[in-house]
Parts: sequence; C-alpha cells; structure tokens
Amino acid sequence: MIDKEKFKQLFNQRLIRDITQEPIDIVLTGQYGKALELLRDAESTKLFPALVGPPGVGKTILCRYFASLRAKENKNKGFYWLTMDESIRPSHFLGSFDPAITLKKGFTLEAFNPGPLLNAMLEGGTFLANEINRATEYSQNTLLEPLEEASVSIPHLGRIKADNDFFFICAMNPEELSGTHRLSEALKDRIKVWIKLTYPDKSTELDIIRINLPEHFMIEESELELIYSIIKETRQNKIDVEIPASIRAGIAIAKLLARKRLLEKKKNIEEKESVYVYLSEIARHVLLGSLKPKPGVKVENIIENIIHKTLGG
Amino acid sequence: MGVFPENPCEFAVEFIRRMRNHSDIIQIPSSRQVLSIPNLIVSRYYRKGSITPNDFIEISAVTSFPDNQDLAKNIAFEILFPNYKKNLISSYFDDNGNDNVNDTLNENGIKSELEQLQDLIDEIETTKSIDTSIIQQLEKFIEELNEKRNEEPFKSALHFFNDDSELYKEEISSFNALIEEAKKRLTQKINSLNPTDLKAGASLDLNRLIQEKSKRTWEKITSKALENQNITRDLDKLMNVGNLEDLIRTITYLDKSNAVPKNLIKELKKKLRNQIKNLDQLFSAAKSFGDIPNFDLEELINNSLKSFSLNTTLIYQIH
Repeated sequence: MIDKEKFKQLFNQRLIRDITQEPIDIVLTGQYGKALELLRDAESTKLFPALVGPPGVGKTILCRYFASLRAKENKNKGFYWLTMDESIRPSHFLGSFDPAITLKKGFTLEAFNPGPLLNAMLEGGTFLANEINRATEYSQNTLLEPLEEASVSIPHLGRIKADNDFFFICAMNPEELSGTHRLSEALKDRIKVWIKLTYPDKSTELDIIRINLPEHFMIEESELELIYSIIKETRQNKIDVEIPASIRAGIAIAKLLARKRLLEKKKNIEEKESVYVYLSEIARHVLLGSLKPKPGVKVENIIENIIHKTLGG
Repeated sequence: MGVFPENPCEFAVEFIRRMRNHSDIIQIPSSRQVLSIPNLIVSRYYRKGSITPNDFIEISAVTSFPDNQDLAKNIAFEILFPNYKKNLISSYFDDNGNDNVNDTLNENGIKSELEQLQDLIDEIETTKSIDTSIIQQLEKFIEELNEKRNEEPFKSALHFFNDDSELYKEEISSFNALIEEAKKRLTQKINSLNPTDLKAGASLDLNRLIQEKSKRTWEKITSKALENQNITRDLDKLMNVGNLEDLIRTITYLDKSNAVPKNLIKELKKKLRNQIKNLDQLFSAAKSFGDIPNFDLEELINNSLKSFSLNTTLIYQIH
C-alpha cells in the first residue's frame, strides 16, 4: 500500500522549482569553455545550436548549465528537455488532450496538457532536444515550424507565437553510431551552429573527475593518472571498441577506488592491497557496462587487454 | 579594416563560394550560413570587445555541418592568410567554378539582410576609430560632475548646455573646461540674454563682461542689480528718456531674475502710470507683466483718439 501523504511530502521536498537553485558542478576549461562561448554567441544571434559528441562527454550538463545561466539572467525562465528515441511522437513535444476532460468539455484549453516544447515557447525558456537524431523524421518535423517561424500550431486550439526569449538547443551522438537516424535536410538547415564535443584533454578530464568526487573521498594524483590511462586506452583501441569509456566511467572508477581507501582508513578492510589490485578489480566491473565492443568481439577480452596494458599482469 | 581582420560579410560570401566549389565537400552549405557567419562574428565582437582571425576560423567551422568542419577550417584559414602555403596547383589553373553564390543570395532575399549586417559592421569600424581614452576621460568627468551638478558655479555653467551629449561633443573633461565653455557660450549670447542667463552669468562672475559688452539697457541694469550695484540713477535716466519699451523690459528682467526686492518692482510699475500714454503702450506693458498696470484712463483715451488715423481722415474730409 503506497503512503500517499508521505509520497506527496517527499515529492514536494524534492521538487526542482527553479533550475537556478540546482547546483551544477561543471568544469569550463578546454572545449567546454569554448562551447559555452559559442552557445552564448548563438543565443544572442538567435541561431539554434547543436551539440554533437559521443555519449558521456558532457553535452547535457553543459546545456543544463547554460540554461541555468539564461534562467538567472532572464527572470527565472524555465528549462525543459526531452530525450528522444523512436517512440517519441509530436504530442510528446507539444502536449496532448486529456481524454477524460475532452470527453466532458471537448477540445478546450482546459483539457490540454502542454508539452515541454510548448511550455518553453510560451515562457521564453530553453528547450533541449536531447539525442535528437534518435527521433524519427516524423517527430523531427515537429521542430521545423518552431525553429523557422518561432510559432507552432496546436490542433483544435490555434497557432501560437513563441516568446522572444525562446531558445532551442539539440544534442546528438555522431551519425556513425548505431541507433541514430540521419537528420532531415530541412532540420539540418535550421540548425545554424554545430558544436562538436569530443573526449576532453587530460587535464580537463582529471578536473572533471576531481570535481565529481565527494569531499570525503580522497585519492592521490598518481591514482588519478592510472585511472586516466585505463580510460584513454579504451579510446585508443578503435579496432575492437565501438563506444569507448566515457568520462562517467572514469568518475565511477575514481569513486569506487576512493571508497576502498576510505574503508581502509576506517580499518574496515583487513588486508591492504596495492592500487593496481584495487583498480584492476574495479575497472573490470565498471568497463563491462561502459564499453561497447564492435560486433564479434567479446567485451571481457578487451577489458583484460586494457588492464594488462595499463596496470600490468 | 581595423576591428575585424577581414570584412565579415565579404569573408562569409567568399567562404561559402569556396566551400561549394570544393571537391571534398560532403554537405553543400546553405545560403543561410552566409548570414550566420557575420551574425556570430558581430555577436562575439560585442561580447568580447575584440575579434581575432581565430574567431573567424572557429565560427566558419561551427556554422558548417560536422562532416565539413575540418574542410571549413582549412578554407577559412586560406581566405584569411592567402599567402601562407599558397596552393600552387590551384593558382596555376584558373578558378572556373561557377560563382552562383550571389545569385542564390538574391533569390532568398538574404542579400538585403547581409547589407544590413554590413552597415552594422561599418558602424563598428567607425566607432572604433574614435579615441576610446578620450571617451573614458569624458565618462569619468561626467561621473564627477554628477556629484556636483547642483553646486555653483557648475549648476550655472550647465545652464548653457542643452544636455550632457554636448559635453561629449565639445570633449569637455574638466571643471575648468566646463566653466570656460559656459563663459564662451554666454559671451556669444550677449544682447539676447534672458533673465536666467543673466543669473547664471552672475554666478559665473561675468557681470562686468555683460555690462561692458551688452548694448541692451535691460541686460546692463539687471546685471548691475545682480552685482548689488545701485541702479537708481540708471532707472531714473530710463524714465526720463521716456523709452517705455526699454523700461518695461528692464522691470520684467529685474523681476524675473530676482535681482531687486519685490516692493521695488511694485514701485517701478506704479511709476509707469505717467509713462503709459496710449493703448499700444498699455497693451505692451500688460503683455510683458502679465497683468494690467496702473494708467490714466482719461489721458490714454484722449491720446488714443488723437493719434487714431481714421479720426484724422474723417476730420479732414468734413472740413
């Protein structure tokens, strides 16, 4: 039996009412600083940008950070996002009529539940179409009118004009990755700024790992270097690996290693092991889900090779 | 070009032309990209305050489809640095590629938008040619002035300026320069000064100058009064001369500039009774003072009848 009262209370406690209040830990050096600068340029010229990069390079967090900056400057205008796949339909963007109310009152404004794109257009907020090239062309077409004319038609209700501050960003994986569709030519032509993000340089990536470690988790610089060498190795093996380890994998390895260190300090671990032993064990578990091998290649074999190469036998 | 390493609009058109004609192009750039490039360049200029060739290259790349970005960087570099690593083969063969960029721009109406952008870019270039250190100096002075705006003699000096933009125009960046310019402007206005000008002149210690240079009795007498000089003799002289127009204007100036006590103004107005001889003079005095002064009604009507030309004509005809 669900305790509705408790649910309501917890829900209200955890509800993010304002994106500006949400802390966002972000590193803005290297490519991320440049990308943010380009997003700012695009915003001021009303040219809609796309962030293109492999999974886990920080596209979404950059968008969230940018949206929170906009929200701070534009009187708390909201941030909406939708992650696409093949099942996404135009109604997911725009909203839909509640069947029960529609039966009772007809196609009225009251019966309509607005979707995230419509909300962002009305409010002048930021809308992120995440993984846009996973959506079908049918769904992609919903974006054509909002991007070109800054307006959209809602069946039975009418056509609305977007607020002047409405801003659209999309994020996508490179087209060569499986599971992606090609963007329609019409949509491509409406996206004017293409910001490519790749795996960051070493110092930026280490900064990202550091910033994501909780305060009580401490690891040494030499251990961080080892973690980076494992991650880097997955990215260099282009023969066997389709999707290499992302920044998230590095953070996960670092967190698990730091946890081991903490337990050691608290003397919860009886036998102290070397960092190589810890890392090879942790890396095996993390990389298993982080790597995507090319067809016909076993992921376990790739991991063993990487561990052997970076941490030794 | 001073601000931009290359004219952004011309760069964008040339960039798209070369991209389209390049054999390695994967996604043909659209005409809209021509607009995006200068737009982003101008936007970045406004944000950062400066633009480098690197910005041109970066913007050319990001406005191109990801598959074209490497090529875009090379082409942008070639346009910006034509003499670096010159491509001998392409210079040997004439570039016979069809230049259809301008036609497409015309068809899409993009050309007019591009022209608007060009105007903006020209404006930026012109603005940049102004010495910014002078502007900074002027802005600093205006800040200092704002604190003393209501203090004398600055308040009076500012009376001779319509607004602060004139301070920029005259490049006034110190209090001395402000006072000097105000003196210059007052000197130019002598003989057509109004009561407020005279008051401001007094605050700027220019009474002597006004008394020396002005040919108008009312300006001289008011200036003397503002300097607390005795003006009784001047007023008597004016009364005796019988120039009512000058007398009326002098009283008005003395009144409006608060140069003399109000009871003296009342006395002077009373004395006018003997000076107002006809309806024209009465009208003139009433118009200047805003009310009808004392006058001898009988004398005024008689004088008016005498000087009425129609009456004279009728008498002549009857005789």
